[in-house]
Amino acid sequence: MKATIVLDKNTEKELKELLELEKTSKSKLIRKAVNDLYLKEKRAKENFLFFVDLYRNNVIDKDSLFILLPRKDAEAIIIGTKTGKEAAEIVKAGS
Amino acid sequence: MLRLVVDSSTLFALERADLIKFLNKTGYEIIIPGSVKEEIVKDSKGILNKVKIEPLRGKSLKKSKFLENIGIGKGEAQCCILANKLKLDFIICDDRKFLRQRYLNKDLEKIKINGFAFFLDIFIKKKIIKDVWEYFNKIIKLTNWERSEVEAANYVFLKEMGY
Repeated sequence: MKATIVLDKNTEKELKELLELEKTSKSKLIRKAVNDLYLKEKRAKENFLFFVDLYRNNVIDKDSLFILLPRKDAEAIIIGTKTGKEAAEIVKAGS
Repeated sequence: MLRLVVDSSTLFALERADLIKFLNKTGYEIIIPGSVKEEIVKDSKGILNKVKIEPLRGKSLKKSKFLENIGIGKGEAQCCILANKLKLDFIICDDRKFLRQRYLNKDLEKIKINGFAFFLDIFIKKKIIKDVWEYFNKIIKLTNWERSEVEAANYVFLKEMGY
């Protein structure tokens, strides 16, 4: 598939820098970026609660979440875990 | 009777899962502020006969406006102030934006939140429902809360409670 892509100034600058760093072609870089995004989305879609468990049990840390999952999922897990743990503490303290 | 201040997000979630009819079996008096009533009236009048409405006035209303001015939704803001006025430890709320705001703003951290899973825990203990995960999944799906702060928070709550 051939595609025409429109880049803003910042992305263009980053792409140029990446081309020098990785010493590869624009097409290969874009394919790699899409593949990385795809894997992150797939992981989050199919294993969201598994990652919640890993983070809840301190098996993985915040940095790993951001590496493995899309940003919004990593943030949701971090915020949700803190909120859920606090909520359980309140109920346990009250009962 | 123990009291609970509940936001519309949670009430709508319970209604979608057909659990709202059990609210009067929780042993709690469910209280909502005026702004939550307005939200409910727009979408679901059936919830209103299960809750007590307690409008904010005077200083409480001013405090709530302050929270609104820093970006908190009107319903959530009034729930927080009402809970504080009634000396309650927490509010019940499943608003994604509010969960995020609370996490990012240190001043809001003292406001404690529980979610719909708080009711699922009660329903299980009172033998109203049998399978907590069936209803958890049902609510998450019906409300489009997949992969959100709300799903993670309620899941962690239930796991921490031993489910």
